[in-house]
Amino acid sequence: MSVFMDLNLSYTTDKSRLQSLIETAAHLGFSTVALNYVFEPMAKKKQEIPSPTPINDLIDPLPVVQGRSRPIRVLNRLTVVMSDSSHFAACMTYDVDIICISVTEKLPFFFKRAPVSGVRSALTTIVNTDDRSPSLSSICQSGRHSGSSVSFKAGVSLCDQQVKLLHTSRMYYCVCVCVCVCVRVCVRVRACVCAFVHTCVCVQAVDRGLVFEVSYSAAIRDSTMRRYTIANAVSLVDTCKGKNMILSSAAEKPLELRGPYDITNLGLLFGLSDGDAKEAVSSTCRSVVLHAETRKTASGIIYTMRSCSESSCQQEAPPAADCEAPAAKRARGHLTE
Amino acid sequence: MRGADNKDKPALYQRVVLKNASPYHYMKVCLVLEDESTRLSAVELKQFIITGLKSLYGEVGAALTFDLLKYDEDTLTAFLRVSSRGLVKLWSSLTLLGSYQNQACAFRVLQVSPFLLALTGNSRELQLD
Repeated sequence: MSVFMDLNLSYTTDKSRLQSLIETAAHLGFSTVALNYVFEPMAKKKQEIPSPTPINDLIDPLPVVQGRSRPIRVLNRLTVVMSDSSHFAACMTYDVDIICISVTEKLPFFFKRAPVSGVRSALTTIVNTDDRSPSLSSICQSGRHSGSSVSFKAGVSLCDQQVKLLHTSRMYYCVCVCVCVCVRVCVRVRACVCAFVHTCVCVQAVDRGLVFEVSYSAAIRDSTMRRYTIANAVSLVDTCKGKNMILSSAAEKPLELRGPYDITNLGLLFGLSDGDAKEAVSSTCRSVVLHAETRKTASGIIYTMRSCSESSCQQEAPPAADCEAPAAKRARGHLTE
Repeated sequence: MRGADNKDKPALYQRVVLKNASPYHYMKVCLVLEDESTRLSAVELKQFIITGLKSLYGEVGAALTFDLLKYDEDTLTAFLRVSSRGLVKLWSSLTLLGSYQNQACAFRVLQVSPFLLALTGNSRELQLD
């Protein structure tokens, strides 16, 4: 059976609150959590992308998960809020793992079909002109490197997962159809309109390996958001037939976290079947994390990491992958000899 | 040989599978409040849960009958009994209850079982000394 994961915990600068959040998650039975850093690029201002603080600085030692003998595993996740097509074009070449869509009050989350070719040409024109913020262009350049020096810092990618947050429905469509590097799409309710999700887009998104995420802590905080969360989640389940969905909290406080079986029960409320609801908290999350890890490697077999021991403890790559390359090399050497 | 077979007949085993055998489901829940010194009486707790059911499922949901079998006021731990059909409703309303009298709260569901006997032991709290 796959372990339980909560892939959306809000990052706060308040260390004690973050510590209690992670301790509560470990106490409730989550084996892996991901701290969410939000980045909203402004077109005019130059902004620095938040770099994740190392886990050892935040909480040390990591609490042991209830029911298991291992400490909890804390990943990092970046959410990029995109509301403009220029951002989208820049981020399209960005090496992202997860895409998160959010509904705002400005534009309703109801979109029509856009011609795919039209979108592609629009993208190329935007990329050719320098219509993007400098910080994003630096991301793109670093993002094009595959393998070792990926994402923000050279040497080691400190963010295990990267998320894009899309405001407009058109961009959601663009992302699902055109972008080939997405892993996860998250639906976070902010506006008072129901999201209408098109089936064809969902199918294409699933083909690319996108996973849809629903956050439930808004439903705990506010009764109005509860209605919208449930409405959107139900429509999402209808559209993607319960597959490739994950449920996570966007918890800011420890009291907003709920246990894994409680979330499984919420999945039943949203219309998922028993098996799908449990998968939404366990095996689908695990597949997202594995997908994110293998995207940093060459065909999922070879990866590189910093040689010092501190960073290696956070990189939980499959040990078989590490042994495969040297073993193959050793065998070849033996044959030639 | 045959005599030995007659004497050492293997025991017959029969497997009985019960589906939805119990009409009730039992839950052990604990209320965690922001202010840990707050105390609730049994009546207040039941009223609080009914309010949660009403806010999520309306009047029809609030009409769901559940019983508070046992309540420990010091640890705010309660044993609830609900009919099996209403388990999902009660459980989800407990999950989505977020505030009690303007302070944040959370219901931690510790155990759920169709049999009350199963709630007597909890392997998570087992201490092997």
